[in-house]
Amino acid sequence: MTRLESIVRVKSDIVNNNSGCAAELSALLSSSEAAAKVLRKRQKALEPVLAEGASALGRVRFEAVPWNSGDAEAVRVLLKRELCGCMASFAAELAKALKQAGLPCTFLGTQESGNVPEAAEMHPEEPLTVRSGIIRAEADFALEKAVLFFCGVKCAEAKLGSAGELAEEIVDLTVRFKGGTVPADVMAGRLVLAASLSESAGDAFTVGGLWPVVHRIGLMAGGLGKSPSRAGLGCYSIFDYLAGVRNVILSTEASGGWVKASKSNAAVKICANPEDLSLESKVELRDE
Amino acid sequence: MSNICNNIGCSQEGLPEDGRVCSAAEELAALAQKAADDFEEMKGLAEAASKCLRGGSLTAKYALYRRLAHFSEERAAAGWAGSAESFRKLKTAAVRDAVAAFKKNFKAAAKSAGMSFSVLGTSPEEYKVGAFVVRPDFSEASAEVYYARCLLSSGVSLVPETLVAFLKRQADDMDGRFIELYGDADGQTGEDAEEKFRRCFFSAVEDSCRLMLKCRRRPFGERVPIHDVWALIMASCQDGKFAASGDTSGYREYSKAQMCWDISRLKRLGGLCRGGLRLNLGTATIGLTKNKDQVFWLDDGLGAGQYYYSVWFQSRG
Repeated sequence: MTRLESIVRVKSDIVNNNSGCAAELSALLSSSEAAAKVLRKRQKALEPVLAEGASALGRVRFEAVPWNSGDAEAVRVLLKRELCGCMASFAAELAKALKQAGLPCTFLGTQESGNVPEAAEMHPEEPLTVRSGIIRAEADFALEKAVLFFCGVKCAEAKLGSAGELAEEIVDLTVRFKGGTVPADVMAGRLVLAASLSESAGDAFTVGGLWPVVHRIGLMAGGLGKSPSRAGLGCYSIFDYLAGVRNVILSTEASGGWVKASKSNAAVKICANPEDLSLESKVELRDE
Repeated sequence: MSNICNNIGCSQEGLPEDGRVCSAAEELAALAQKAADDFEEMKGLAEAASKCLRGGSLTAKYALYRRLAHFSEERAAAGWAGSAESFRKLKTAAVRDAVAAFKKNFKAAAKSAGMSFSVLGTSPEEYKVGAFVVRPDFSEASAEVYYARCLLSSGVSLVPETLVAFLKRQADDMDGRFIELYGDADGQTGEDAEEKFRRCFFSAVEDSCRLMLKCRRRPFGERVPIHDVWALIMASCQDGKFAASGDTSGYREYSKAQMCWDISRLKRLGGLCRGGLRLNLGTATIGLTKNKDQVFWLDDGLGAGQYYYSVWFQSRG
């Protein structure tokens, strides 16, 4: 049974009042026949809320349902426990799948060690965030979607399925973005060119600030000039750019961070390590 | 045939001064009726011959013989109305008359809409209305519309008023297209549409040239192919998603015809000089014009035009 199926089952349990946490809930209110009637009536009121799907579970506004605060809290605690258990088990499966694919896996926002978080560390309304090499993924159980980022830029979004599916997606994106197609010195040349055309004052250049100009250079180098069309416009994206910039960083590990730009007297340094590269990372230039 | 007339707006009501078209069409319809009557007569003769041969009297056989002889002679005559040749001639005349009527009505509709009209060719028919070239297809009752030797639209109705309205709308759309796509972040209040176009388009061409020349490590002022400028302007005309990440899902077309339109418009509006710079257009050599993808046809506003290949900026200092 997948984690999502588990969540759906919890919802179903509550609606049908026949097992699991619903049984505990029933026990809470079974002290009198009148209480049971109230429960059935109020469960009916809850049905449309729950029918929105498993995603609504983490965000059900119990105060909107005519239960007393004690009942609401009891249900909330049960649901939280179930959801956190699902998330923890999802995290464990994801870590296992990534390990099998030979990729690192660090969970963010739960604990400093980055290890697979325990159920007690989870927050049902917060997405489970995992970093695997150059890709960061956010599994949002409340919205049932997984969003993947490369260098802080959203590069894919998918319906949240099993942990194995998410791991596959991470592996695919890692392969796609791992090596930029543009050599480091050529990329450095483009950054120097973009800086010389950039309107930003002084030397305060960032990776994101240089993107609009490098985008155009990349498009023309990629063949837009030969065929100005929709296909031509798709020949260079921000992910190609970031992969290229990452290439610049990787190529400078032996040279103190500076890369000589192709066909230029300038050198470029990206002030970030490959894992932390983002659009906000600073770009420094100097004459050689 | 009456369909030809109706489809190109030459109905009897709409053509008070041109009886020829209708008479040609009526003549053709009458001919078709005559041919049908002829066929009926032939059928009647065949039936009579069948009965007569099975046991008719000698007088009846003789009468039949005379009718058959007359019928054969009539059909063999060169001017027999039911021959394919007669049909073809009449049809050609009817189409010619319909074309003449269309031309007349189209010209009148263009003039009343304030658009220039001239005939570029007759076989096939080709007209220049305003900045557009119209190629009618009378057999399909539709027209193709071209600008700067690029096809803009096909299947446009051949009804003169509809066609002229389409061309007017097309001209208005093309006037507003660049600013609509490019946006205007530096918009100035009180600036009219023409000045806004002159400023934005000139600046877009200048920025594109600067970038291309920087990439090629050439000084600003050297020639840049218009094709490259077009590609970069097309990139500038895309939406925010494209600017942010290169995502082309919201692709917005900036066609070659539109590029030609905008350059011609800038020239026509006197916008080639700005901020101490003059934008020059370089004509294409005969060799370059062989590759039509790389050259741009610009109207000279006098009914003719020329292929251009490059642009360059010159300081007016």
